[in-house]
Amino acid sequence: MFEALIEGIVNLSSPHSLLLLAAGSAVGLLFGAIPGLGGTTAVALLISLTFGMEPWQAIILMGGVMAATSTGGSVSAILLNTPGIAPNAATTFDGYPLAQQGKAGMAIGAGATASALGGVIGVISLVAVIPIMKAIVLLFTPPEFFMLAIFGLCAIAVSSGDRLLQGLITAIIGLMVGFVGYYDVTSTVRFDFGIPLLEDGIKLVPALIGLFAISEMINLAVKGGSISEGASDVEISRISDGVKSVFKNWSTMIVGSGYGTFIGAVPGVGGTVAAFLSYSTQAQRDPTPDIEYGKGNIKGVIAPESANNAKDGGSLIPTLAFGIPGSAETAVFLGVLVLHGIEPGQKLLEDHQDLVFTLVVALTVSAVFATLVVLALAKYMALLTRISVHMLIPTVTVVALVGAFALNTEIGDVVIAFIFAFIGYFMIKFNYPRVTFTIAIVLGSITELSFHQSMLISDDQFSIFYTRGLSVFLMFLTVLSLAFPTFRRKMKERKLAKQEAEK
Amino acid sequence: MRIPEHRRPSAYYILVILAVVVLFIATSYQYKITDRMFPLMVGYVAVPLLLMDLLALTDSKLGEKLSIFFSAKTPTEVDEDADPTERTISQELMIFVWMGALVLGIYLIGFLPCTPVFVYCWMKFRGGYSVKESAYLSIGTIIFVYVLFEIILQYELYPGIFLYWYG
Repeated sequence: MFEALIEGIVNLSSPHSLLLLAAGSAVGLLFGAIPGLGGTTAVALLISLTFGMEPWQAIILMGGVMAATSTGGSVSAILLNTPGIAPNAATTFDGYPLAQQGKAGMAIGAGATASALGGVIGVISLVAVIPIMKAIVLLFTPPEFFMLAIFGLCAIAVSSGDRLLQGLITAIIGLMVGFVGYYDVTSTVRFDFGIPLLEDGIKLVPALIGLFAISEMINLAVKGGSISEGASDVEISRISDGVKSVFKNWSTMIVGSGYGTFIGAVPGVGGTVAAFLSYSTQAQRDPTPDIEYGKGNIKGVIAPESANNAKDGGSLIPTLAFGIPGSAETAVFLGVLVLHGIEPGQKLLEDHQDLVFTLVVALTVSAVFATLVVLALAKYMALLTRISVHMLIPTVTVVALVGAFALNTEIGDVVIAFIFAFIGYFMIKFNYPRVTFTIAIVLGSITELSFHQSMLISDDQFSIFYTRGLSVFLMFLTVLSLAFPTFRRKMKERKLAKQEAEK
Repeated sequence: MRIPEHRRPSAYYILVILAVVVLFIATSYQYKITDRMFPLMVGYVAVPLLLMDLLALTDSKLGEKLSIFFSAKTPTEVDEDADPTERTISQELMIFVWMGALVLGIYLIGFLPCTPVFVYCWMKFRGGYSVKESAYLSIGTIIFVYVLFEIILQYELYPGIFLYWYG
């Protein structure tokens, strides 16, 4: 493991690698700071640039993007009350009041430092579990992989806000998309409807570019206006006070990072839940605060920011070990790995440890780099959010379409991106989760393959899924995840009834 | 049992998905049992879920109960949380036409001529920017695309069907 770590550091130490990391971090910061874009769009857009790269170079570029996005998002959350990405929403509760009190610099300093430290803690946790992951992966045979994929899909569907039904439907439609094209178990081409373009299946990269990058542009175009209408002049001073406050409130940062890592590792739950849980736990841990939460308490910035950066390390645990993406961003990242011939799972953890550690080092350095950039350039980054959508839409759309084409230099891929852009737009419009859809597309082939392998092993007996300990445990987790929204609603109703009774 | 006016677009959306799923199931039967087994299982799970999603949009008690069973929010709560942005069909159609024209343009004349034309026209006619501002951004975008993709990454960008036809 130590050699792999050294190799990861060596991979990152060349000027070319550092340039890639800086470029990835800069794109991540920009896309994080501009509301509506986000890390998934950035990763999807940059895929085309990695085609000619070595796998470790692609990993460095993508690691830079993933680690920097939520740090960038905190700036617009604090200065403009507009979270750059969803996980930064909890940062607005105390970050924006601090900015209104003239302590924007302090809030940004605290947010950026907590992000960096949270990111580093998340990555350390990832490194710590790598040896355990290898042992766990060996316990998984086809029935367990099948149940894990089903659990992953259900957990992701449940996490899609409060619309479980829509989450499940989206997961199923995503699986169906994954069935299109050549099926290597039986060497059959299915669901191609005689269209040559579909014979090899729907290519992931153009589909993701359409689903995330172009659909967001269509949505912005339909909505119109500027991205954010915040105050134009914000005074940014006392940044160092913010940095110091994180070290003063180290327990808040550690607890937040713990939440981020743990919750990030559950497929699909992601940074938003981690950030909100971290914030509410902090408020509960501190019943008599000096400054009320929601009115400019610096701990209300540290808790969510440390959580939403720590989740990057956590969400890579299921992605690297099982190929089950922890979030939309990691689903697209998984696409990058597959594109470069790297298969997640035992092989990756044993034969390509250098790549895993290159990612670990890239995430760590990028988290720190992004923080330094934010501390230095926060004021200018805030201006980004006032870019007119009419400048953003044509440029991002064109670059996205060029990226979709560049993968195989096939014009059909532009059409795929275009079709998926509309699918993505309607999913945004009717509130169907794109994250679940994406992860289901990625999981489609693994799920069917492990299903068929299980059937072969068991002579077509479905009992194989409920007679093996680990498989039953995963089935139990699946049922538990499906029951979660009902349980949460019951709890909410009980709490409301109790409050009514007290009145 | 009826679907309130404001939820009808969602209902049409579900019906479109349902039609796709039915087509998917029907197509599955063309394949051998091994090839169709898993797709059929998935397809048949989708049908009741979609029907329940449709029922949940109605103003009936059953619809509300279904929503409560399957989600943590009732349709009314979902309505309250809905994105307030008004999206008129004409607005949407207009954007679809612009995007469609871009893809058609790329297919006919290729990326390099189409990129500046699209960026310029969008800035000028949709954004209301001046000729100078629109020209600057369109030239900037094409330089970026050309330098990054053609020179640095050495991809041959699609030249358009016309160039293929005329050699």
